[in-house]
Amino acid sequence: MIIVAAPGTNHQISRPVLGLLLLGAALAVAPHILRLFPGLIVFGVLAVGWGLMVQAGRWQPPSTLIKAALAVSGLVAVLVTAQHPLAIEPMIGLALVAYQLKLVETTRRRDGFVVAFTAYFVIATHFLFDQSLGTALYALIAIVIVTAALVAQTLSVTTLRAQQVVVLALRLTLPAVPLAAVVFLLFPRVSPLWTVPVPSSAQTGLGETLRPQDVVTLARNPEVAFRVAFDGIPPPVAQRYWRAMAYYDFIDEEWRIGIGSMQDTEIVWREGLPRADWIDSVRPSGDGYRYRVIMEPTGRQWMYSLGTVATRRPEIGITRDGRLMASLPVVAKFGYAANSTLDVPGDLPDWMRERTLQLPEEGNPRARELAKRLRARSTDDADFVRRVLKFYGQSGFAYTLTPAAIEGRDSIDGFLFGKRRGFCAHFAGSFVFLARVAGIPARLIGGYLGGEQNELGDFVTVRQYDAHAWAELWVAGNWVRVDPTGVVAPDRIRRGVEGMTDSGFSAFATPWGVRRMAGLAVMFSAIDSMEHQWNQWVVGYDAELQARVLAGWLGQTALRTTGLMLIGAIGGIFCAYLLVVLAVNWWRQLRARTPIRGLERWGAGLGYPRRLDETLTTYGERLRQVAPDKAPLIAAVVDEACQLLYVDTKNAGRQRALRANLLRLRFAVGTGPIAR
Amino acid sequence: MRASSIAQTLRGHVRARFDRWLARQVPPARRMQLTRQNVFIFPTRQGLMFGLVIALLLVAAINYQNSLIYLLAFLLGGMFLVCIMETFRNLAGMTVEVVRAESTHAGERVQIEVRLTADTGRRHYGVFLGWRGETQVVLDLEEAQAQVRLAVTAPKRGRFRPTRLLLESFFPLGLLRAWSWIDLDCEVIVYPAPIPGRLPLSGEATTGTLGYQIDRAASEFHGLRDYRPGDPVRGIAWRRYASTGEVHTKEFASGVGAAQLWLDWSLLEGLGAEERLRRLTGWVLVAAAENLSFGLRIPGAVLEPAVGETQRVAALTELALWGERRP
Repeated sequence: MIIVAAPGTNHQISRPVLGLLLLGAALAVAPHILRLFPGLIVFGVLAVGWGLMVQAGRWQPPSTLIKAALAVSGLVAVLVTAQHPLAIEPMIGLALVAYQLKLVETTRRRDGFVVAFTAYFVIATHFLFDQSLGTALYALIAIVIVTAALVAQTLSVTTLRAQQVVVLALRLTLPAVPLAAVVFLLFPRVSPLWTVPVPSSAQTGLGETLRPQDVVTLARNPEVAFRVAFDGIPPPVAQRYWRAMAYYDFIDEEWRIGIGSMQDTEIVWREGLPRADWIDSVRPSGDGYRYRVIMEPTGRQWMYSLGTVATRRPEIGITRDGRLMASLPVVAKFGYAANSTLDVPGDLPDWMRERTLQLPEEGNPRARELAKRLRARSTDDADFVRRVLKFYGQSGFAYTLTPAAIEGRDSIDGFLFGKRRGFCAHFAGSFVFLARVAGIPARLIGGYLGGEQNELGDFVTVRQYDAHAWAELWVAGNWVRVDPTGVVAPDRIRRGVEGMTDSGFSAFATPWGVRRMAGLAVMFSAIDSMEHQWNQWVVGYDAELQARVLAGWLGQTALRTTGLMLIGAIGGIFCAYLLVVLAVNWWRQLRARTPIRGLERWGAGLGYPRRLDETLTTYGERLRQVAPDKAPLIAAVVDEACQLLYVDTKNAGRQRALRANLLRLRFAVGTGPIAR
Repeated sequence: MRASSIAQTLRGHVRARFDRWLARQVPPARRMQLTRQNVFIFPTRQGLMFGLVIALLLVAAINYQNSLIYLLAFLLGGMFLVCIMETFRNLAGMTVEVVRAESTHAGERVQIEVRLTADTGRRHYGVFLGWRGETQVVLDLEEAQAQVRLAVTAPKRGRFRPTRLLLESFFPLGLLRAWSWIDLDCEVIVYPAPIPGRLPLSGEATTGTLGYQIDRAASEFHGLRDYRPGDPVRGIAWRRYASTGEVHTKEFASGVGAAQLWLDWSLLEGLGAEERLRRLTGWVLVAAAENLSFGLRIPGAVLEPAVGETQRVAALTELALWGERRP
């Protein structure tokens, strides 16, 4: 059979290859476009379509003028949509525009490589926005398709089947996965080389101002805020006050963190600034709870911690009021280990005393009067707190997430002496106000309370609807936590917001209503657990976790040892792969040669070994001349061997027939070979 | 000028050394298996670009402290390593052998038929083949065997050995190139390039008259013989073919006893040796096409007059190799 081979000097991309390439590029680009610049869809469809039409020979490639016009319109579209022209999103947008323009004129193999390599890179940029398991799987599919396009490019054009090409691509990608996993595990993690622009879009969770309507929005939001895995038994739900924000200023009836509340000098980083003298006041005394948090991106710097906390990450600082602060906004999933005792940290420098007693000159007269009255009756600060809590408990206050709006001035008066219906922000806010009037330093803390224990995995999921606010007061030389909401709605504290039955929401309207339905609950648990494992071991795998994992395996190791291990492991895996490949090869060759070997041995026995340059057929012919009486047998053996070797390699019947013939050849009586 | 000539000398020197090394490493053979000894592998420019992409991803991963970008970079790196093996194995484990090489005239293309055999039952994709300096063909070896015709221009008459055969492959990703320069031990006789001309009739040739007509009716039917490739189609005994299904060629003993056609070197007095050989070649072709009996007389060799394909090949071979055996 003579193959009509295609000429090898063809540098054009064939249509199936282009199809795969454009599909890969579209998969790579699509999530970005949908996430950042939906307007660019038109652009993308136009580019891909034009590319296909050019390939089909129907349309001309766009002229320089049209290309310029397209480029400018894309540029304008991106800049108009973008909020911050210098953030990373417009940069990605512009890159996408350029990339899609490139797709139109992909005609040669060289362009094909550029498109494919860029697609790999674009796929990587998705991880800046989303590192969930789903995104990773999507990326893997896109990678396989792009790889398939590269594979298709190297094949001869005449024999191209999409399915086969994808299988070939999988044969490349899958063996690379364990290799990648080992390198991932061992590759030394270094700190960033330079500062980079970060995505600016995602900003969820608590803000710099605690507005009641924001809390209501959060209360309906079932998104995960963070997940925590405790070493050992977690503290009880009612003790899990996750501190995130501290609101110091009450201005215009709103609680704000206050400008400049945390100057650089009031944050201690593990490295850098000289040690502050107040550092001991925010350090846990003795062993507490050890846990690892994996937080979802917030676009803000604050992080979550229990009580008095310590962490060893260099990029996490600790503020004077004992909260964790990231050196850069958290724009990707971020994991950190910490240990905590449950007491409230911090001391009271002069500036903080001033800030925690700050009140507007006027407003809320009835609340001020109430505080003064209770203050006059109480013996000390602790007694005052008890009296205020008693006031909340006995005055018909009710907890609801849908209170009537309290508008305008004197909002605290409106809450305390009006409807008396509200939620944590109202209770805690008014409580801090009363304490400050009574001369007790007080601050409003925003964060999360509780969290749901996952039944399948050993971790706690804290969602946005677990958002909570409470007060911290300086009483008898220490900061203490006071949560007035607990007086009114003890269930909120004990069982979490999901335990609330009276909330003004009907069972199904609540975000957790569906989650609690029988059957679905297990499924949600499983998904959540999987996502958590992914976050913990893959997304959150950083220098700290790496050190811990490696130390767990091999004891403490230095960086150099890790490097050596890395090289060793890559080498080892590669050698193992090589060995497997060679073994398979060797076995195949052995099996392929078996039918020939029988004949060769017989021939050599006669004194006629096969010559190196002889094909099986020519050797058979020679043997037939040597032993004419066995010519038919030899012919049959050669024929069957050829069939087995080249046509149907796995035919068991043929193999049996061949073996029988070889036996007959060896033992059948004949006139013997002609003497040489 | 000087520098460039030095560079050229150097390049020539390096080239010669490489050829000598290659000759030791990959000696000529009629049948050649591609193995570790004769397959080379190196990244292509795209392969280096791919390395750059991985490096960029790594920098991004470090700067954004992004685990999944790390993972992607390592995955691509792993793919590159797998590629090294796959590219090598795509070429290795194949056997290349010459099946047939057809003689031709100088300046024409020699068709050499090459058979590729997959030894391990593995498929081989995107294999480019071509003689050094000739256009390549590409094929996917999906069956265990494939035969392919590779043309190479024969520069001059005589024994011709094609240059080394280049087999290369970029499969699977085009990031690496595996190649082998193999020396297929095949020899083709290249006949002189013919100069067409009318046959000299014996006797008349001395007088220089070049008028010649063959009287087909006058030539006697001699008998039938088996068809051999190269026999003129109009010589085929079609009636016989129709009745038996076998292809035979009619043989005519033309000019038997009559004018003996001697294609003689001395008829072309005054011309250069190569020119004479080319003219003689032209005459042999005409005589064979007309199925005439002819003899050949050149210095050092005499072919008695005979007819048919054997005579034609013998005559052309003598002409092709003239000078080689001259005393």
